[in-house]
Amino acid sequence: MSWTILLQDSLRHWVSARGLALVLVAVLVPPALTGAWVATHQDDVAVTGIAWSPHEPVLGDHVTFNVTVENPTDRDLGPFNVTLRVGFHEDLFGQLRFRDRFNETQRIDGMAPGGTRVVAFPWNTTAGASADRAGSYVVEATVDADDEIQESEERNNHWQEQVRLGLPPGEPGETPELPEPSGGNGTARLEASVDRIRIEPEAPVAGERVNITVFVTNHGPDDLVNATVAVQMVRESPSYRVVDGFLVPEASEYFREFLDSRVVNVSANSTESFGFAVERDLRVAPYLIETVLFTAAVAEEQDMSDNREIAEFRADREVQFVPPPPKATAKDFYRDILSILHLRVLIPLVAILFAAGTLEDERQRGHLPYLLTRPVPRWAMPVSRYLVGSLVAGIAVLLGVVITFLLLLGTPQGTPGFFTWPLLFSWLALLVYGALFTLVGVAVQRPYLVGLLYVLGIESAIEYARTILINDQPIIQEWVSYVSVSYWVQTAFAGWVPGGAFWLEGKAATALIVLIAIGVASIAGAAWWMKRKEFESV
Amino acid sequence: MRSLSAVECERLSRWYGDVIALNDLSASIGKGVTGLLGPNGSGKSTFMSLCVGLLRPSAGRIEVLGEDPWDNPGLLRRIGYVPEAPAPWRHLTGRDALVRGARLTGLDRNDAGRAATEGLRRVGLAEAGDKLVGAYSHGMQQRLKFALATLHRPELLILDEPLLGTDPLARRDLLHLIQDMADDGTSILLSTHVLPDVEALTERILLLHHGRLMAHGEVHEIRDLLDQHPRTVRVATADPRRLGAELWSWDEVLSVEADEDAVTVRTRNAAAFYARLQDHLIERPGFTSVTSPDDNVEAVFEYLVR
Repeated sequence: MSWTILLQDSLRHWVSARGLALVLVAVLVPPALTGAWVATHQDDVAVTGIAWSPHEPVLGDHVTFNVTVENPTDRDLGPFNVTLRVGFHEDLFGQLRFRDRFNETQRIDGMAPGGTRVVAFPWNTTAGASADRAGSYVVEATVDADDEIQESEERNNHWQEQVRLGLPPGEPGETPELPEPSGGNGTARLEASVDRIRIEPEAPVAGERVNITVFVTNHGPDDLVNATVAVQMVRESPSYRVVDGFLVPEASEYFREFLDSRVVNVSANSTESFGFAVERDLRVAPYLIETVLFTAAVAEEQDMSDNREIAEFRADREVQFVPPPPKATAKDFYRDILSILHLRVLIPLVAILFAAGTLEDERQRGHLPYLLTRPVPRWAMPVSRYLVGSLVAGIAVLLGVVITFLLLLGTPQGTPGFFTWPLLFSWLALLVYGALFTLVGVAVQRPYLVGLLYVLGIESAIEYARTILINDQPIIQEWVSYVSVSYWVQTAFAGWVPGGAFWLEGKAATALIVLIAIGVASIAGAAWWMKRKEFESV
Repeated sequence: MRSLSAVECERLSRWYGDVIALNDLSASIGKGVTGLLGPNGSGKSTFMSLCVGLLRPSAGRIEVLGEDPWDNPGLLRRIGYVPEAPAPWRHLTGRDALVRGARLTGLDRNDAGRAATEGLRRVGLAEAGDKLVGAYSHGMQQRLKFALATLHRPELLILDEPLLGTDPLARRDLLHLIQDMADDGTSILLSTHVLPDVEALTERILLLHHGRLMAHGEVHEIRDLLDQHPRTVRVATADPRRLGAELWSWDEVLSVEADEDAVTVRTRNAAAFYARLQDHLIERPGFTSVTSPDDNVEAVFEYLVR
């Protein structure tokens, strides 16, 4: 019965100007912001594909890219731009830059609701053709890069594909070779050959280290000693001339580079492998690896024609798909509302207001000497206030989430997956902060001040410090953040992927467990502290 | 087991950091009415806080009705406590405040309603029961606090300065209430720094000064002490000079000072002086009041410790 009165008392705190204002703020602010955003972001335009012909182009082809653009909404769209870029990313002093081979923008006057438009971009690969223009490229189409349309979803404004521009068949030039193994008709007891060459990786990218393995077999009954394996690498450089706008290949040039040689021994009737490496960066080009086994200095073979072997490989450029910088979408906005407004600001402040005054409010109202000298377990005071506060403030906060979600239903992101976890996170954060500030309310003299210092001082400072990087490292150690409830809430929240697995994993799951532990420990601590607390003046 | 003492303490001390509020107090307070006397800062409130379990002893021990009061909600069912603080739940009516208090004491809704009605009747607030507590006068609030403390018929009633700030009428009513409770068999521990308040109720007193027990016994012993030390009496009158000249000739008077509207007299025999003054003033109308600025315990202590 005493419990009932304490719960009623706690509930009565909410029927006050401050309590009602708190409820209204918690309920209305997030939906109001979201509603304003949604009302001005109703349109959408999307790229749904890029096709090209010829499908396997070679240098010199006239390639046409067809970009498909859609208006998925039931609203007319105003004019906007469509941009197509062909190129690749290269690392310039640690930063990726997109290097264009083609960059063109076309203006679309507008689109009807549900309409589809194919925008063609012709690319003449003959222009400025040279052998190193061949290789793989990123093709990227972007609509409305200038944000002329207020979209509810920006992430469908991009589409990326990979296209490989091959080399046309060329006229072979004179291939420089290693000295032809000479001799023959030697002793019948010696017969060796280069069986094959293995190149790893088979399709290296420019700049990647290439390993070459040469397999030598001794077919004769005697051991092969002091023979020499020599390896050279030849880069093929096709050349072209343009005739009537088309590329006409001419004889290729070859640039030879001696790699290494090695004295080898191979036992009778066995095969040995010998490794070589290309120690320098490769260019985007076709290459030949030529290997010759010299045995003449040791003994002459019957047949030396199988002492030479050639293998080919092609160094391509590495294609990286780098997503464009993110723009705000309804989904992002929803996440931001939850992550920043709800979880970092609103919920901690609501928790301070309902929990930190557990004793202080009663002291100011002059109720404390009357409550503490009644036959009521002392721990029931903070616990009852916490339970009622969690319930009332929880309903207010959750109502805010629900209304916010309902406002987003009209957008492409309004799926139920956006609903369940945010509700859970919001309530969990409220419960944990509420428990923590109940403990503060019982344990310290100025609980509101301490609560505000914690949320606006300590937690904000930690949050800010984590964004300051020196040598790519935050200026504070991660363990410093462990004192911040906000850190754990944000870590758990970051693990939430709308539409992803229901259960959180990794750090997010750990954060969830830590939050529950903080909440339980805090409210238990508050009850224990209250039971043991002495009151010098009430 | 029922204790013969209402409160019993042995070498009881309580300090706040370096400040000693109660120092090595050993006393056995029997049942009935006991006055806890002492000037401000003497340790009365600390002693009462120890009695109701708001504080723990720093040293020694205390038992109330035979039990340790610390962390003992069960004992609080047997104690009624009237703190010095204003009446609580000022946003409620007097009746609702009493119902709330009764329910916090463990009564169910019906019993709490009955107890509230009875409480209002007992303290003379039956007609004001539906008014907000915030609208009550100071005297009414004191009576309401008294009703709150006695809703559950406690064995021991602890009153912290219950008469402070009350007008003479309210004071008389409260003293009657306290006396009624005492007559019903409730033990009462009453703290005050005004000696006549205690004299009206009991002969038994406990005297505290600077946290120490200075006297534990009968009130007449204190009264004797009080009567032996020179006391000041101020008589407000329209003609102070004339009255001063008349009083100067009395044997009981040590000194006389007259100002614009009153005569201040120092006397060694207050009882004789008061008796003679009463007769004198009846024969000579024109005086407005007679007060004794040092007719309180504080003055006695000042005298005792000198």
